[in-house]
Amino acid sequence: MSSRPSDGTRLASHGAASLTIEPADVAIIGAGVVGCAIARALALEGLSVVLIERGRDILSGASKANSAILHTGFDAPTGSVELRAMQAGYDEYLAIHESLNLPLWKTGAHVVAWTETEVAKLDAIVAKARANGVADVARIEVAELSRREPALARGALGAVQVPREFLIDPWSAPLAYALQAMAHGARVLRDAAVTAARFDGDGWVIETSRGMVRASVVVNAAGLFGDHVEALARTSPFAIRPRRGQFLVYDKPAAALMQSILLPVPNERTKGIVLCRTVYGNLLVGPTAEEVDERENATTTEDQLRMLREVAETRLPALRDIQITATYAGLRPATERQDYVVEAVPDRRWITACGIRSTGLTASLGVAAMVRALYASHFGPPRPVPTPHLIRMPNLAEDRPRGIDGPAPGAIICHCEGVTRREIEAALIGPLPAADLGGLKRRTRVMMGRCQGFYCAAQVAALAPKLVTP
Amino acid sequence: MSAERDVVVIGGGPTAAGAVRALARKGRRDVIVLERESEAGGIPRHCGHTGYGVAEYGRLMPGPNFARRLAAELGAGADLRRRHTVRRLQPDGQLSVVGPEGSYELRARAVLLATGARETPRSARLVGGIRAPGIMTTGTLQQLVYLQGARPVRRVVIIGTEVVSFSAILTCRHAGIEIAAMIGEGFRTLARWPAHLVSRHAFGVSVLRGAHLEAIEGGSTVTGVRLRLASGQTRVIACDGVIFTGKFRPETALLADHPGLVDPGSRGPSIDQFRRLELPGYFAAGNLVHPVETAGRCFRDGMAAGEAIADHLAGVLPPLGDTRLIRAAGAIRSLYPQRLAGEGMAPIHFQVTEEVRGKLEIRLDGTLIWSRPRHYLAERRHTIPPWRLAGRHFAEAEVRIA
Repeated sequence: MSSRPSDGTRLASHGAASLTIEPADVAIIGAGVVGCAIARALALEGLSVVLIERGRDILSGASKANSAILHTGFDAPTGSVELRAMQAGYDEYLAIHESLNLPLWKTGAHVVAWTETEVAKLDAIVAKARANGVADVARIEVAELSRREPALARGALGAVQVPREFLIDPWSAPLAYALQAMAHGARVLRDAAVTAARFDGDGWVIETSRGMVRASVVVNAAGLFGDHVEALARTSPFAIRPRRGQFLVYDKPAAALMQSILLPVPNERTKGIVLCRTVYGNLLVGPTAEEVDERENATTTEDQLRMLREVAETRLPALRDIQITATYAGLRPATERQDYVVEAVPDRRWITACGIRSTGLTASLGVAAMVRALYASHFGPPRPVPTPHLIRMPNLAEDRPRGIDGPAPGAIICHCEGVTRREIEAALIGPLPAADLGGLKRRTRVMMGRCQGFYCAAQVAALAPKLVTP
Repeated sequence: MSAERDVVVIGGGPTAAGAVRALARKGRRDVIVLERESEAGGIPRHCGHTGYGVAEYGRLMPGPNFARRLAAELGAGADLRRRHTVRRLQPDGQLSVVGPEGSYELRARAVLLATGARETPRSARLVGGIRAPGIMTTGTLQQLVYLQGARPVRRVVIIGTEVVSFSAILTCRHAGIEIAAMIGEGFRTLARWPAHLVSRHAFGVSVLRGAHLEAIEGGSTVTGVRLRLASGQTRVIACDGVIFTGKFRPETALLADHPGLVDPGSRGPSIDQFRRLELPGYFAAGNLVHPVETAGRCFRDGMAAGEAIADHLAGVLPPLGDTRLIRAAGAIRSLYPQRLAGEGMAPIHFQVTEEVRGKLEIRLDGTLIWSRPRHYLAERRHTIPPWRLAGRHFAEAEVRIA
């Protein structure tokens, strides 16, 4: 619960917040998916890490809304930092997911062309995939597409298969990274907005709304506030230009309508609207791509939600009879640049990991590896821990047993998503307990289903009163 | 696998209690009721206001008291299993159940689906704006107020003018929550009673008709709603909560594996006049079939289902396959029963999509047999009496409002 310090530090009861915290080797600003992955990578190097997050819980900025796809990078800019990070991140996820009990759905994807203009772009997509080292991307016949995806609307004119685009759990993964970092001594400060920072030649004194943090090196993984944080160290070489993405989630019967990830032919600006299942057993449609000024509390708009429904029902007509269970909007921390910014500023003892857009879930482990290398070459040799502690995440994916499937599940609180009281209780304790309702939903799936709390709100409120009615 | 039981009822609300009472009167006591919550009684558990129980228990009482009477009746007339959830329906009355001690299979000669209905939340209405605590359905609000003793919000806008919307007003009054406004998309209040009078005079709530909710505004909490008024003007009303009321939809999650059994009009199961699904051994009644009716009506519907199940167990119902179809067309959103078995007749109940003045037409196998112009209100039950179709032979009837 929010009142319980999760990091062994103590808040002053009144007046200015202050906390006592040991000076760290590295302070990471931003506990999104990228910050969590960096914390893990550096903690596994034997460094003392403090992860600072302005939100009440981790993953409360850009990372709370994404399409949960593990990308091959087949369509990323050739030669980019983004592509390198995605491919390294992809490989590392495959290597570690089982040890952390994280799901991997090997669905594959299809890029489908619906107009002649789009068909004309398919060969270039295949060529780019080959140039990016994703050799199994190839054209397939429309008849073959229809055989694989019989619920898809008629009228597709061409298709490309991308066999190794996969689905993952977008929230359990970064939570696992943070927990693994904590198992190696990392401390996580939540509800701690950075207000100022001072560089004294040897290291940094960072002032946050919860007190002061000293660290030898700072990593900026501040996502949507990346340029603001960057300005603490230098004139920011980039500006965050938030790009809003709205999504629809269809109820579970929709997941039976599709096997693979359905990708449109991208245009210059965006990858377009994706239809894919989620490992939680729903069907996701989105995102939109809208330049906005907002950096938090992303809002949905009725016209874009209706447009998404129109696109979804055009591509998968059977969706007309299926209920939409959730709508949400997320913000991607895009910049004016075409690429990520991952670089060190050695004389300021600073590393930047910013401008990480919608591909960040895939790329996070790769970005973390880049930051680890930058740290090693500028600030000190690696001294990796001999044996990493493994974290076993509670499974939230539909295809493997969950709490409700166990021998004596006890009370079931959320009937739509099949969440037990025991799972909710477990998410409220431990080293990184849920600190707001969003955090509890991401950890357990409670209230994420078709009734949106109609049946279970009171019981959730009884278990976590401070989270439901703050 | 356990031995076959006579009857399993899924859900433990008013409909289930009616069915158990009827079954008991017919001497059927081998009945299991599976209630997934910790207490039986259904929606009335968290309807703190009065208005329940006269027909069933001979006196007026508030929802929670009524729910306790229902639960007691279920416990007396059946093997009531609380915190038992059905996860899967299979043909031949085979059910996969999970209880606190684990999963098990159950098999019954008759299964009654009485899972009720729930309100349509904000998400399914595609309302734009922020996501924040304070945005909830009446059901959620009532649970927080009556079951938790909480006051989750201070000042709300209520969306909808159905009967449940007025229940939301009562809940707010009880909890000391100020009501900033009540918003109706249509120009007529949908509740049956003269709701504008009740709301204006008894509660002082201003009802904005013909207004469209454009967005919910705020940051990490709600600060207001933005409306587009009938006049075309935009208006922002300050509030920290938005209560989405009504637009009930059947709780059909159990039928997800059997999409062919669901009527796209009502979104509940398609039934015949004995409340049978097309899946042998399965029956459905209450708000699962026709959202949304009062608890009293669900109780009576449950009783009718209980009587039909007793006849099924006695082997005196006409065969399931031999049916005539009743189809809805034009402005009619849904009707039930969707099928008539054997030679029998039954009243046909229907609802319209929106308020309509039009001609009701009944066609049998394409031939118009009856028509009458009339004014139909939305969210009400309209009935075609059984004698309209009596004595006629047909394979398919169409009921249309032109």
